[in-house]
Amino acid sequence: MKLRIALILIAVVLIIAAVPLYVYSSYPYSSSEEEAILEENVIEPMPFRPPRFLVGSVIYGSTREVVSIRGPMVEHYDDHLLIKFGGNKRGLLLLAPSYVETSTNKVVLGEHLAELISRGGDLTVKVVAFTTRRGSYAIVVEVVKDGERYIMAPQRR
Amino acid sequence: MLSPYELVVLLSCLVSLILFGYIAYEFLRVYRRLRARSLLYLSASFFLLALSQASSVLSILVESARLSLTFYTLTSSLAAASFFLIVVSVSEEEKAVVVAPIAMSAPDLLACALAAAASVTCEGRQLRAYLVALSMVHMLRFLSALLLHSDAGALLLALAEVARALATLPFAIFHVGRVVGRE
Repeated sequence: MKLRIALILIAVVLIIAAVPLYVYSSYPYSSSEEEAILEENVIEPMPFRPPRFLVGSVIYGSTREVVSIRGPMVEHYDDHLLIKFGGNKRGLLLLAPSYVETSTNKVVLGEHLAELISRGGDLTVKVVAFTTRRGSYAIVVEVVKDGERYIMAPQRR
Repeated sequence: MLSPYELVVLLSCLVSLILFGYIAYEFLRVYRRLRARSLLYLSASFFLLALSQASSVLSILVESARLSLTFYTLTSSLAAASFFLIVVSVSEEEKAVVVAPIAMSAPDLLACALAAAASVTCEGRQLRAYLVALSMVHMLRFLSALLLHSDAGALLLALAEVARALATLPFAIFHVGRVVGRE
C-alpha cells in the first residue's frame, strides 16, 4: 500500500512539474523592453491589453539572435520599414519610443533614429531579431553613427 | 492596472479557487469522520484544482512573461494531476470500466496530436493534407476505443480504417510516385 501511495505521489509530482519546468528552462532570454516592443507591435491591436502569458507564448515560440548590421539595407513597405539581416532574412524594423545618446545623455525619439537608419550610409545598427510564427521582427537596441552611440532607453509600463 | 479582460478572468479564477477550496475542505471533513480513502483522494484532487486556479491567478498578476507562461502551463498541469488522482481513487471494478479505455486510447490521442503537429511543420500540400487525414483517423480511433463496448465503437473503428486506406491510396499512387519519378 505504501509503495502504491509513493508511486502515485511520484506520478503526481511529475505531472505537475515536468512541463512547467521545461517551459521555464527553455524560454528564450528577452529583456522587458524587447517584450514591451513585441507586445505593442506583434500582439496588439487587441481590444484589451493582452495578458502576459500571451506575450510569453509569442516569445516562447520564437528564435532570438543579436545581429550587428553595418550600412543597413532598409525598404519601405506601406508605413513600415523592413531591414535585411543575417544574409537574406528580412524583418519588420521595430524601435523603442526613445533612445539615449551615451556620451551626452541626450534623449532622441525612436522615429528620429528610424529616419537615420532608413537614410542608410555609414552607420552600424545592432538589432535583436525574433523569428516568430507571425513573422520576423528586428528590434533596434543600439545605433552607432559618427562616434555617437544611441542605446534603448528604459521604458515605463 | 488590470484590463477588463484580465479582471474578468481574475475574478472567475478567484471564485473557482474559493469553491474548489471549500469542496476540498468538506471532503476532508467527511473523510475524518468516515475514514474512506476515496474521500481523501477526492479532497486532494479538489485541493489541486484550487492550486490550479491560484496558479491561473498568478499567471495574470505577474509582470514577467516567462513566469506568466510558466504559471499558465502549471495551471493545466495541476488540473491534470488532480484528474489523475480522481482516476486512481476509483475501485478496481470501476477502474476496468474507466481507466482501461483511457489507457488503451491514449496512444491514438497522442498520434492524432503529433500528426496534426507534423502537418503544420511539413512542406508540400499533398503531404500536409495526408497528415491531416491521418490525424483525423487517429481521432476516430480514439473515440472508437472509448466506445468499444458498444456497436458505435466498432463502427467508428471500421470507419477510421476505411478512411485511412482511402487517404493512403492517392498518396501512395500520385505523391510518392512523383517523388520516385524525380529521383
